[in-house]
Amino acid sequence: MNRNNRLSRPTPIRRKPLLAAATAVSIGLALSGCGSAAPSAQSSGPVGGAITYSFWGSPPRADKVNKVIGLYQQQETQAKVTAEVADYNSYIERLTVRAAGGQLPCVIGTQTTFYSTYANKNVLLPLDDLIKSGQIQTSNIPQAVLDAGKIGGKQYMIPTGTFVRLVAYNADMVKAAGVPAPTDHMTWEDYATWLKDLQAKLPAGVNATEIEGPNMFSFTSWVIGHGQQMFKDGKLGFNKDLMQQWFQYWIDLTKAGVTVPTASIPDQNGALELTPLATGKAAAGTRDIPQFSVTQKALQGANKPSTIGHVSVPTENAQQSANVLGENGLSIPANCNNVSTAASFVNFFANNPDASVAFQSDNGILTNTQAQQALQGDKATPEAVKQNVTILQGLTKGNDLTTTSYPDGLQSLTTEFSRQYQAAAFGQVSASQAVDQFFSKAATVNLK
Amino acid sequence: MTATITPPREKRPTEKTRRRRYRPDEPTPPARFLRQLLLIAIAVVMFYPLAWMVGASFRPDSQISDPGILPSNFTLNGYETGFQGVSGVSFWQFILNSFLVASLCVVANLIACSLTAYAFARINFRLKKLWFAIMIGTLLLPHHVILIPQYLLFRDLHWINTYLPFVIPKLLGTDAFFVFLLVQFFRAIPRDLDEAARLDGCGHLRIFFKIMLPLAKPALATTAIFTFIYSWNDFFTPLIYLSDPHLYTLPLALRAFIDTTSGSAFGALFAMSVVSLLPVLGVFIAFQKLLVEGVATTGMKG
Repeated sequence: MNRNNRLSRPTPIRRKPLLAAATAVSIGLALSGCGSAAPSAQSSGPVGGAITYSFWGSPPRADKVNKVIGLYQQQETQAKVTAEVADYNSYIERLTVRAAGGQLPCVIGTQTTFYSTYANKNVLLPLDDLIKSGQIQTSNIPQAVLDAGKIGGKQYMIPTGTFVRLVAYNADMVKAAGVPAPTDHMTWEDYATWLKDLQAKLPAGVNATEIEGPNMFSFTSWVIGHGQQMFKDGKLGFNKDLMQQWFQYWIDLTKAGVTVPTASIPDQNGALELTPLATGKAAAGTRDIPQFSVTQKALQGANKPSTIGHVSVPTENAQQSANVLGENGLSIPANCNNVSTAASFVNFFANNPDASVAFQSDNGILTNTQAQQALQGDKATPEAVKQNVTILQGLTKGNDLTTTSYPDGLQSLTTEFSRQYQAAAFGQVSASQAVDQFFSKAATVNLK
Repeated sequence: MTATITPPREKRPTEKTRRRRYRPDEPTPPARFLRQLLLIAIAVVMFYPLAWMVGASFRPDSQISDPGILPSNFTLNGYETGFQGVSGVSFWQFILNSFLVASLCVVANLIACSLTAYAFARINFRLKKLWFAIMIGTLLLPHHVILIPQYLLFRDLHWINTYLPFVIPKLLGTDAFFVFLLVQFFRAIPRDLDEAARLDGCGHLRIFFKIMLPLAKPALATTAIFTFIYSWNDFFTPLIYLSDPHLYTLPLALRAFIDTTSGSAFGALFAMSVVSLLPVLGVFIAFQKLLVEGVATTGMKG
């Protein structure tokens, strides 16, 4: 799966076009008058005809999607599905402009971090009627997971893949340093102490951790672990002190030489294989579960210590998990003119065991419990994928997961968060000033 | 008898002594050596990314972050994977698509920009200066301001998922930069030439085709080359208007090799980057003389 969240890798410079486009979409949506919630085509017609499925990812994912499409077309011989792939950032840019033009493909990949932007503007079709009629079956998707695809009580996204962010660490490096492995449910202070102990015994040129300071997804864990909320009643749900403490926590660790240098933040925002953790320059960081294997593979390729271990994200209250859950899924835009075929494809993708085996949980750990079993029972499924499913099942069983809301203006806040952290970390402003500026920006953003 | 006095003949400077004389503004050999050393160092720095990219295209994915130029483990995997393409479409298809789009854009720009430029340079019409200022003003418009309205327009014309949004606007002379470049060039051509042609009975079209265009070859070459390069490298327009992978151009295909949310195929990315660079390099090498001449004679140099 992918690391899927824009929260976790904010790259302000590269996202200028995205931001501009995102701003423009609001104007465009208003101008075009698109986004009527009423479906533009009968949803009960026969399955057939051409639709396009647009999603984000790299060529390996595109190959897997094409396999799923092949299976679907064998089953629905009158239907033709065209796959349209782009990398995550490009995908969002394209989605934004097309939404403004009412030209979205009939099935689109969505994510909890951004789908509300479209759902709130009536760009997406509520899927409740399709679920009620049985065209899309959701009985094997846990209710809590399914609820992540709802806004205002309406189902806009069928979650197909789950991602959970955990602390990932290089177990071989930690072992070689003679430091005990980290444990679940540490406090943030415990975690800092562990990192400092580790740093003292690591070889020169290796830092104990990447910098989580600019990462709003990690900050979400910090906020929840401190008993506050990210968003509440259309506003920020945490106070300034908590954010300032977060900035200071990471700035202090950087000053102590425990983190990679602040100048390495762009490396953290780039391709997974080039991050400090994946290149052996850092021994710990945070990753979504499915990204462990990518990190491990990169380290193996470079002949570096490569076993990646994981523990829950630190929290101040052992009863309150800070492992934030997110979902990737499929949505049908309101402008779709072939809803019955789109619904049929979404249903196939989310429920068909053969499709699940072919897709190999490539964009999040499968949400469908039957599909999970099919995947784990298949000999061709890579061991890493099976492990990911097991990790998620363990977290679910131990009730060690938490959720958060993802409001409309999240994208711009994520960028601003990273920008302000970097300004503070480079000493351009104090942590307190950076927090003030972030709150000022947040006051101008729609957080409903 | 008269004695003749012959003035002492000046000793002719030999090659050696001649070389030792330097004008005050001429650098001495050590200075010249240092200057050349500095230029070579700058050239090496400039060339390094390109050389690194070529080296990286022969490197396995796991060693892609190696800063060295020569790969320690040579592999052609990047090229093999790259040519397989994306989403079931061969990379050759993307190359062909890019050629088609870039060529059509070049032709469209040459026709439209030269005609528009001739009008601004040679024809007097009402509010000419205002129209020229408006045209130059379009250069200042941020792309994202017109993105949505343009998309809506092309959607209503049913041009989405075709190459028409790339080419048709160019036929309307909308590339203000090239219009300006050609206007500058046309203005530098003596008016006597077209006045003489007019006396010989030529109208605007014949003057344009018989007099102006042949003389404007360097500027036209500059327009053609830059248009080709811009179209070849354009990422955003294809991203917005093309949805069928069979129609994708090279930049879209290249970008599809990387994704910050999952694994990336760096070897394939760099291998195909090298491949996609070759046509641009070829075009530049073939026309560089005209390009330099065009830039030098249109007042566009910095």
